[in-house]
Amino acid sequence: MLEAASAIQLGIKGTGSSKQPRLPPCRSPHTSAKLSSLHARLSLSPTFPLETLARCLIDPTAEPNPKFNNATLSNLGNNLLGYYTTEHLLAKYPRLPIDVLYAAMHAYISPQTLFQAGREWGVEDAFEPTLEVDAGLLQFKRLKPGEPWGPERFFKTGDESALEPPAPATDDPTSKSTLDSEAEKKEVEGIPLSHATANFVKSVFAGIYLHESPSSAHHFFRQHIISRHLDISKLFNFEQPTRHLSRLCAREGFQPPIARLLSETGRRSRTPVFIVGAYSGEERLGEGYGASLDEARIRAAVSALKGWYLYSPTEKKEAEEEEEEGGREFSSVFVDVGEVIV
Amino acid sequence: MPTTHRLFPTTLRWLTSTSTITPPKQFLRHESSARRLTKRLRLQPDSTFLPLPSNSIPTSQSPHAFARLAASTPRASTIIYNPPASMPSAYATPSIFLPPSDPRKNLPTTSLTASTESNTNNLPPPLKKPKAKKYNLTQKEISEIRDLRQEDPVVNSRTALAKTYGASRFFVGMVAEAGKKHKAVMAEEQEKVKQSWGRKRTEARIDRKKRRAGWGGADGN
Repeated sequence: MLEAASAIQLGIKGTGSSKQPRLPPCRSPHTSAKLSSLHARLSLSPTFPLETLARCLIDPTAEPNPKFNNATLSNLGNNLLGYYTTEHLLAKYPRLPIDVLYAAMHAYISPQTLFQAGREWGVEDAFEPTLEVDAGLLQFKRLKPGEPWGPERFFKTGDESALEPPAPATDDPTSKSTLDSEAEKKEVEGIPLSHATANFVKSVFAGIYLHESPSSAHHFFRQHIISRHLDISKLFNFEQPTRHLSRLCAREGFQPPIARLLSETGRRSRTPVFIVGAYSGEERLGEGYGASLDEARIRAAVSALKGWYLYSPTEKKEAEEEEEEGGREFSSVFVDVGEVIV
Repeated sequence: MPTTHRLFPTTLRWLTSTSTITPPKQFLRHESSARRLTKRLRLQPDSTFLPLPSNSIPTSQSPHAFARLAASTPRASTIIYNPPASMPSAYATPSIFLPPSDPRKNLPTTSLTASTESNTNNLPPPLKKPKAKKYNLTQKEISEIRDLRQEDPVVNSRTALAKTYGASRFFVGMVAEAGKKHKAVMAEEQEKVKQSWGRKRTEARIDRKKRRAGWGGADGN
């Protein structure tokens, strides 16, 4: 907080030199109407200072010094979001296959989603990170058109250093050499607007975690991330559903699945419809429809597999909620043996 | 239609009459048609939309007994739940899939399992007759199959070996895969066949492949 305040006093370009340029009043977090309104709009606690919110808005491409940009905050926020999302998904759907889990996590906390969240919060971006811009604007250096971004950017050269993605400063931030090399590396680079906004959103989570409490961060996460609609049942794609289902039944000791015709219409017509149920013994595992018996059978197997993988326990306890209750003995969530290997 | 026969003599009598003068204008209609029409148009709501009186239980003699409105039928105080026919939700877990620790495991039935399916005879017919696995081949015979297939994959094809050893073609393919050379020859032959296809067949095959790729869940259903 103090560091952020000193960053504002020092100014963006004056961190390394002894001469400190005077900043226009718009740079002060306390005079920025945008910053205050953003703080109010997000219903942040008074313990979350405006200085931190201003620091969250400064991208490493605008200010290379990790003391004054949001690199460390966004790193922490990234870890928090990853942890909370995984915990939420695995507590709610303990049997999710790993690919679906990753897809769901990507849907919740990918830079694109966080960019949308940032837009919904009403965060505006400065065109260029200069001294005159308001402290309530997102400040970053834009990626030049045609410049690579993503994996190709990090793997474009053959040397060893280029193979490591530019992680935010995790070493001792006070070391002068680290700061200089960081500064040199970042100075020429830009960042897409979506990623800069996503980093800001992550930093806000970190700020809440540090200034308020872990449970507040978790609450904020539930309000802003988990509240977004995601139909997890649409994320599945089975390559061999019928074989998958029979492997599942063999593993779990159920009777081998049998496809049974529940109803049909227009078998000899151009548009027949068949409804097929996948049965194990007398239990109906799932049902599917289709224009052919094969299609209906495969869809029935898919429906049965979704029924297995989308099992949700009645009690969904997350560690954070247990902490809130206080004094309650820790009880483990349901842990599944794992997905079926086909 | 009986109605036409009945109406004909009444309505068209003046046409068949021998009189040359215009018949007197009079309003001709069947005395009961309006009433019958109104009655016919008065559609009753579907039986599933009618509330279920607490005292009536459907029996085999009168399966729709509960559907009739009676004076005692509560009208406004009943919740009618009649959703359209649709696929069951993917989030409804069949009771067999519930782990033993789940409290729902002990519930008598779930929505997916109909209560009428009490025994195997009442189950719907299977698509294919379920076959019991034979497990008739020993390790020695399996290695024999492998040797034969390696020796001459053309003569000892999957079909031929399956017939000789009383196994399925799938099983033979699983235990004794053909060599790379034979596979390449077969692929080449298949490619030649595909080359001879016309535009319609080629496109139909591509479309079918695309449709099939979506059945595993990729088409969003």
